[in-house]
Formats: sequence, C-alpha cells, structure tokens
Amino acid sequence: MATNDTMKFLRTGKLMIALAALSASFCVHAQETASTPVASAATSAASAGKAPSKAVDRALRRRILTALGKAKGMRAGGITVRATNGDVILEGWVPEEAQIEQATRVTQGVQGVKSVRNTLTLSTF
Amino acid sequence: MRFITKSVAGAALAVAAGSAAAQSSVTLYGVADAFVQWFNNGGTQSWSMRSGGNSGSMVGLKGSEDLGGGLKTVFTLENGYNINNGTFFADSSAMFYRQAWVGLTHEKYGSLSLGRQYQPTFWSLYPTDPFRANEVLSPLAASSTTFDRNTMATQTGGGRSSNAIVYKSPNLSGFQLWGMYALAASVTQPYPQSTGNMLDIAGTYSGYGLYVGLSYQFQHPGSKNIPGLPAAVNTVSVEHYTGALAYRIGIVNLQFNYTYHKPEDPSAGSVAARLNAAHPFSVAELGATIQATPADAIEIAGFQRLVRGVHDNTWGVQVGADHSISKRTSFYARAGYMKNNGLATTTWPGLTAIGPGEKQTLVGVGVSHRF
Repeated sequence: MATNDTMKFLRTGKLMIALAALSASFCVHAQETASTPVASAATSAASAGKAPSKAVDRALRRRILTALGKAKGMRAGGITVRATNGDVILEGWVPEEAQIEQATRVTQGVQGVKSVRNTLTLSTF
Repeated sequence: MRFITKSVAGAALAVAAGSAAAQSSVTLYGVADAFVQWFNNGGTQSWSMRSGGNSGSMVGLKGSEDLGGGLKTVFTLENGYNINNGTFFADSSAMFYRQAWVGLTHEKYGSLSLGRQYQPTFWSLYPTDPFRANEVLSPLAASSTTFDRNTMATQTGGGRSSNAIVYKSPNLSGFQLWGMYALAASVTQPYPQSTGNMLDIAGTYSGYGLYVGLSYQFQHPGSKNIPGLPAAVNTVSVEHYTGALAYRIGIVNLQFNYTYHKPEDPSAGSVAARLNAAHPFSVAELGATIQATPADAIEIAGFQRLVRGVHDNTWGVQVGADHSISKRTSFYARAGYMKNNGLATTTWPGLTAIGPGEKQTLVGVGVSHRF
C-alpha cells in the first residue's frame, strides 16, 4: 500500500514537473539569451560547412572538460559539456558564482570552439 | 541581495580603473530552499515541511581584499537556517554553523585559512555523490553520519571541522591537494559531544571527463552524551579512508565512492568496550547524474552501509529530478528507500528511525532559490 501511494505521488509529481517545464521553457530561453554573452570567436580550425563526425565532437568535448579541470579556481566536477559542430553548451553546476563566468571564458579559449552557451547554475551543498 | 553584489562589483570596477591593488569586496549570498516531505518510518507515516532538501538553506557573507602581488585576504561567514520555521540549522547555539573562516590566498602558492571549514575529505567526496552531499536528503550524508548501537563509539567525519587550519593548493594541471589539522572541539547540540584533534589529507584530479578523489582522516578520541544512556560514551580514535571516482559519458556522469571507517579497539573496561560499540563500517555509493536537458538533471544512487563483525547493515536507492526555471530558481523532487537489517537504524539526517531494522521511505518535492 505504501509503495502504491509512493508511485501515485511520484506520478503526480512528474506531471507537475512536466507542466512546470513546459510553461517555463520560454522564460528560461529568454533569460539565457539575455544574460549570457554568446561568444562567436570562431577559430579557423573548425571549418564551417561540412558536418564533422561525432568523433570530432567527442574530442572537442574532452578537450573542454580537460581545460575546465585544469583551470585555476575552477571546480569542474558538476559540468556537463555538449558540443555539436563547434557549438558548445555548458550545463550543470559549479559551487561558486565566479566560476560560472570563468567556465565561459575557459571554454572560449579551447581550440575548435565556435560558440558557447552557458546554462550553468550555482550549486552549494 | 543581487543589487548589493552588483553595486559592490561596480564600485570595484570603477576603482580598478585607477589601480589594480587594494580592491576589496563583500558579497551577500545564500540559498532559500523548502520542501514538503512524506515519510514512512517503519510503517508510521507523516507529512512535514522541511528546509534545504536540494541545497541547505543559508545566508552567507564572503569577502576579499587584494593585497597585491597575487595575494588576497579572504573570509567566509555562512549561516545555516531552517526556512520552514526560521530557526538556526542543526545547532541553535551556532550562528555560523556552516562555515566561518579567514585566511590568505595566493595564485601560485594556494590558500591557508583558519576557522570552521569543510574538511578535505568532504571536498574529495562530494563531486561523486549525485545528491552533492546535501546534509538533509543525500543518502551519502545519511549513511556517513548516522550511528547505531554497534557504531556509537566509532566517530564519523561529519564534513566540517571547527578550529581547523586548512591548506588548499592551487589547481595544478587538474590536480589539487588539501591538508587540514583541526584542534579538539565540543558542541552541545544535537547532543553534548566532544571530538579530538583531526588530521585530514586529500588529493583530487579532474580532466578528460574523469574525476578521482582520495583522502585520509585520522580522528583522535572524544566522547558523546547520547540521550537515554546513563553515562557518556568514550569515542575511540578512527581512521577514515575514502576513494571517489566519476567519469563522464556524454550527458551521463557516472559516480562512485567508498569510505572505510576503521576504529581503534576501545581500552578494556571503558564504556565503549563494555557496550561493544566501536565496530568498523563502510559506506559505498554507486550512482549517476544525467543532464537530460540544459534545465533538467536526473540523479540516481544505490548505496550500502555495512557494519563489520555484527548483523547491522543498510542498503537503499534514491532518485531525484531537478528542473531549473532560471539560473537561480529550480524545482526538485526526491524519492528514497532504505532497508535496515539487524540493528541498523539508518535514516536521512535530521530524522530518527523508529527502531532497529525498520524500513525507511521518503518522498519530497520542493523549490530552491539561490541569491
């Protein structure tokens, strides 16, 4: 019985979250574009036009993760990197506010990065 | 709050135009986090409102003063509070329960700080807990800080230390080192307890999507006055060994950690020896954080707490979902289950299992705002 209740509760919760997600998706987008400067420092290495293979995206992702891991003052453990054709999205969390902007700067400095969209949030424990 | 931060930053920028040195700033920051919880404690159900299920509710002040030559003075004062009723978190006699420290930091040589601080072991461990070692709803915090009949005299690390001197190295190509020595401390809440001096050393590596953390703690003896027991229990010295590992595959961060708590044998005739309450135990957690979309994270963890030499263990699972509606505000849900076996009384921090061997189930839904 208890598990039944739990399941029902979970389902309701999921529905609520899904609704919230739906209604919020617009405003999230608006805020991101407003508050995050999108870098367009395209490097000549990543030539536009031809769609590079997934392996290139993966290698870029790994380079970014390594650069973030090595950056002074960064705690990169909570950052997820998505890279598609040189366009990068930073997702997840960092423990200090200064690291949000720093993550954008570090990523912009990685070879092959064309644009950076930063959706990192601040997360303490 | 943001206004203050911005105006201070603005002022700093204006001053910086003239000279780079002698900048100083103070930032007010914090978390307001509330959730509603359904809890099944061995068949007894309850509803309640609580604080800090995603991130502990807190108000903090942090500041720095640029001394020139890459050197800065830094400080942090961080208060924990319960947003559901406005009281102090965990210890009503501690204004800055979470953190209170001052120190010097240098770009090249790292930082040295004095006060109440996070332990190196905590820093090495928390990136591998999908629930970020949150001290209200993380199963890792639950398994690591709980004690029962068999482990009353086995001290737990606790995550923070008072009277601590902490050295933190700069990030050296992904490697970072921590060292701490904390002098003895005593508290009156949640029950009177004294802890001995503590040594803590940790090293972490982050790069190529891999995270590795290793740490070692040595805790000197102390004592506990547990309510319901006629006499204080002497706690023995304990060594804590921690290994933590995480690896990123696409949007999935696989996380694992293992800690072994090894107490010394209590001296013959002591309360700990007579109660046979200083058993070693281990805590293991395997989980993942899945960043489903930029705004959605799913957390999953399976965990086990195993007391050695007696029938006393707990295993459990927990899932969570975080949905951000902005950079600062998110909704979250958590659902967890713990199966206690033998004399185990593990449950989430701040709750008390109704008796040994009783199943624990918790579901929570809340909102978290960072400012």
